Amino acid sequence: MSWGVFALFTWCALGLELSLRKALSIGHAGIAPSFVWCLLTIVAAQAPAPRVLWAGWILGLLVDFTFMLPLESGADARVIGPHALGGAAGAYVMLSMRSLMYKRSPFAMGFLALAGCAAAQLVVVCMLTLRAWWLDDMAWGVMRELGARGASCLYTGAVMTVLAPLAPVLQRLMRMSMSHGMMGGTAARL
Amino acid sequence: MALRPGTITRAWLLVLAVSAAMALGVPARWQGWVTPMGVLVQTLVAPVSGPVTRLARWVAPVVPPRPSDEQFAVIEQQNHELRTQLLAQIDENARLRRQLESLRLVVPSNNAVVDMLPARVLGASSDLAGQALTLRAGSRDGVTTGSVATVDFTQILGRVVSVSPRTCTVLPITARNAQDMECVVVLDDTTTVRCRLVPTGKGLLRGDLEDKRDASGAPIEPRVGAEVRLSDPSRWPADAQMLIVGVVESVEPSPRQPLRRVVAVRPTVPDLTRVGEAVLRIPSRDDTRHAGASVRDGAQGGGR
Repeated sequence: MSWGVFALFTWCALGLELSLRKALSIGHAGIAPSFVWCLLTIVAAQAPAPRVLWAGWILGLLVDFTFMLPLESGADARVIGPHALGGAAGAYVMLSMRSLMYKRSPFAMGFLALAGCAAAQLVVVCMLTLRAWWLDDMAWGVMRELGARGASCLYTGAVMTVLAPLAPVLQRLMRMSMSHGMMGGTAARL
Repeated sequence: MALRPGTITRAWLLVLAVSAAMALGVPARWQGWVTPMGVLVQTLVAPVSGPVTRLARWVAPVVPPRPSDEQFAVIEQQNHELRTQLLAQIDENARLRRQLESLRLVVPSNNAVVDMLPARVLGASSDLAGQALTLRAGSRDGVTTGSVATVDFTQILGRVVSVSPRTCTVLPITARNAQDMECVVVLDDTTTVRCRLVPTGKGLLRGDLEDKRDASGAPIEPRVGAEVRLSDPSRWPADAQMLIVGVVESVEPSPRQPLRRVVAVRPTVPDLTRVGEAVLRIPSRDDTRHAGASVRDGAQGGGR
């Protein structure tokens, strides 16, 4: 996998994350798709396992850098860790599931994005709930967050399904080996 | 399915351990260095996020539709600004009168002159539930932490919570961790009812209304659609007083005290987190010179 091309796609995905997500959001609860997760899904579908884990951690770290903790005081505070660990967890879940998926189906990509995003958000909510409990005064409601983030994961899965036809092109540009990743024709024959 | 042996290396475990330690063991105040890093990342992705934000706002604008006649729109804008200034003066006069009566103390008026700085929205928070906005204006333009951001000059958007030389981050008043605000519901130019509004996290602000009665003893109740304006001199700058917070969406009995009323307020812009452009109110450089001149004049007057 070419890290240079991955960095370029990360730049674009993070740019879309910070700009287009609000425009696509539903309601005031912040239910919106994540383009960073779509990129990680495209990477996780085909890249070697160690690189997928690193990619998940790096993308999570970038989200940590640009995420303001919802402190009660309203101050701008950012912490490293919750999304980085969430990204790693999501990448691990996607790696575990990818060999069971049929790569030509856009729904498989959508489902992979949904599963990875859900695992990551679960980790993020756990981390931030623990922080709210013993470290920082945060405006934080566990059930509200789980609801909004769960819906966002579904939305991300739907967007990934739509973007799935782009995945082979992006994977080729990132020079990913076809020997890893999701199943090819075997599942179709079975 | 388990991963192949060798996938999880020692370096990887170390990175995970450090991440977990930072996430769960280090308070936010000790991770202050992360904010400049975040601002740097936001600045680096601005060439992507800025144009996409503009495109998205162009496709789906969120600012209320303007009148077709441009001149009419300008007059309406001026009317809004003058009304804001008038109400701010009335509020300031009342406050000074109260202070004069109670303390026998003259407090100089601090109605600062401000510059209006339009700034494009570069992007929002990356988290699925984040509500902060990044604007393309920073400390080199005179923006400081605590500067007030508005939409269309009169609707409050929020306050600046962090600044870098080129960008700043604004927390909208509707964000669930935004601070509560003292406001007044304007019934007419002379009658107002106070309320303390708290963001609900769903684009609304709610709060208890002051129990105010007319000459006959009947409770004064605001109508739906009445303007709600900021009147919180202890926590918001003087130049932000009487800016529009929103309009009354509903008035209901308080669940805690049935005789009190709770008001729900919605900003005049449908969704504050989706605006494409904001106007920052920053202290005027001319005003600084003015203030200096006043102090010098005062000193000379005292000497004579």
